[in-house]
Amino acid sequence: MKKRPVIFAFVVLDIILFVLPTVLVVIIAFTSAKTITFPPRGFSFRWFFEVYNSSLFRRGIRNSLVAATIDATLAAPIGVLAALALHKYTVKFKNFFQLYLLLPFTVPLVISGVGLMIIFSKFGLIGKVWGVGLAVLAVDIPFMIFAVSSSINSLNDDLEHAAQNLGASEIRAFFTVIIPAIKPGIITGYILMWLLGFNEFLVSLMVTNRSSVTLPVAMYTSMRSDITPDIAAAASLVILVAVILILIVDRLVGMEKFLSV
Amino acid sequence: MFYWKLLWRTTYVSVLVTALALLLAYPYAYLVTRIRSSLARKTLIVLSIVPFTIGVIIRAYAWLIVMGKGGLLNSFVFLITGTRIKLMYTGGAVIVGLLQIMIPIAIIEMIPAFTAVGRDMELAAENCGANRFRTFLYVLLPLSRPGITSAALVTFTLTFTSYAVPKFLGGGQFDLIGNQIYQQVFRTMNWPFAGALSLVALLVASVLIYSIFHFIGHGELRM
Repeated sequence: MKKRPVIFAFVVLDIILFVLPTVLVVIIAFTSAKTITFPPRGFSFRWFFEVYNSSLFRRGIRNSLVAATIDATLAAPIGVLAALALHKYTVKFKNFFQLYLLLPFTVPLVISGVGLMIIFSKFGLIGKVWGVGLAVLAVDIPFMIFAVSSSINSLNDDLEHAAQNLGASEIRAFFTVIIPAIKPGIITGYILMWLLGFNEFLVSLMVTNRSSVTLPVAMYTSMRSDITPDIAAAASLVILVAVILILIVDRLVGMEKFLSV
Repeated sequence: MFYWKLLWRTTYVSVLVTALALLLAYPYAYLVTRIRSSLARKTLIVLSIVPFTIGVIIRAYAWLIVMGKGGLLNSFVFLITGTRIKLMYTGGAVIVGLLQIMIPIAIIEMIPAFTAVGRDMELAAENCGANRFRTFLYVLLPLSRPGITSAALVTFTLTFTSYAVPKFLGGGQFDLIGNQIYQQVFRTMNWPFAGALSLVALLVASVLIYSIFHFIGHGELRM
């Protein structure tokens, strides 16, 4: 490290960019003052109580929890089956499907958001929390497929053949051999989808109303009227959950394996 | 005239942010794959993944705390000079905010490329008498090109189509094309025009993506 000052300097700059804003949010959350000042005045938990007592934030947190869980739970089977199909079978129009699955990634969120909004208002889905889950599922599904694909690519096809040689049907081999073998990818994908679903802003802004508001939209609403430390308190909770979930992924799967370091 | 300016601003901001994000992500991704201590590697990975997962609103709010009128930076400036400077709602704020979002993504894209190159390649080059700079220029850089390409592609597309960062950190002073599309849909209610803008945006982005492929070379999209 010390022999490589250039790399060291860039990495330090990166870490400052990543960490500084996040840490400041957490510090501000514990202020006792009414406004954001530096250095922050006093120490209290009052803003966490404000969040707890605010019906907007409470509704936002509850709706985000529901939407994120629907999003991740539906994404898991879809991602596993799609990734497996593309890997294992000669699917007709394979290139087309591969490109199609990448679309949510390349089409601007503004555009897919407007499209979803039009469809949702036609079918009366605006205001339904499970609808928000579906909307974030539609834009984030590539992440699940990529997470599972990386596990499937390192899967040895002989494993399945061995299972079938021993008399397992394809379905049985799928449940007893393939699923356990690609579990790391499924866990990583599930948690990633959950976090992205919980925090998706633009798409949920377009498909929610007052009753189905999600936490990011609630923060946005509250930011527009006044920039107070209660947003910092809510944000700290999200940061805490994100750190815990990432550490869980690391425990269960290993971050290195996920990124194929 | 207005729309030419908008398109031009969106294009140069995307090119600038992509270039800076690649520059800042490259050494980080390199270090993640080469550092010996497993704990240090895990820490570096977690530090870059957490901002990626907490969403854009929290990060925009965080930058308000850093760059706002009563924010951290301005408090320092005030202590030293006795006056406050305008940091929020400028092009600089938008670029910093976008960079913070794009660097982790670029890092994630680049890591597999460095893993694929392998430390042996660099050692071989150094054994053959190349100094560190020549090893970088003739071995590391060409071999890690797929990672650079995919990082450039993803960073560029996401920046070109960003909405939230220019909205919150630019405060209407530094809109990009995504903001204008949103405006046309929800404020002016001119949907056909919004559709036309989207198509123009896709067209310009496609041309630039093609040139990334052409000049940096093929890569593969991942994550």
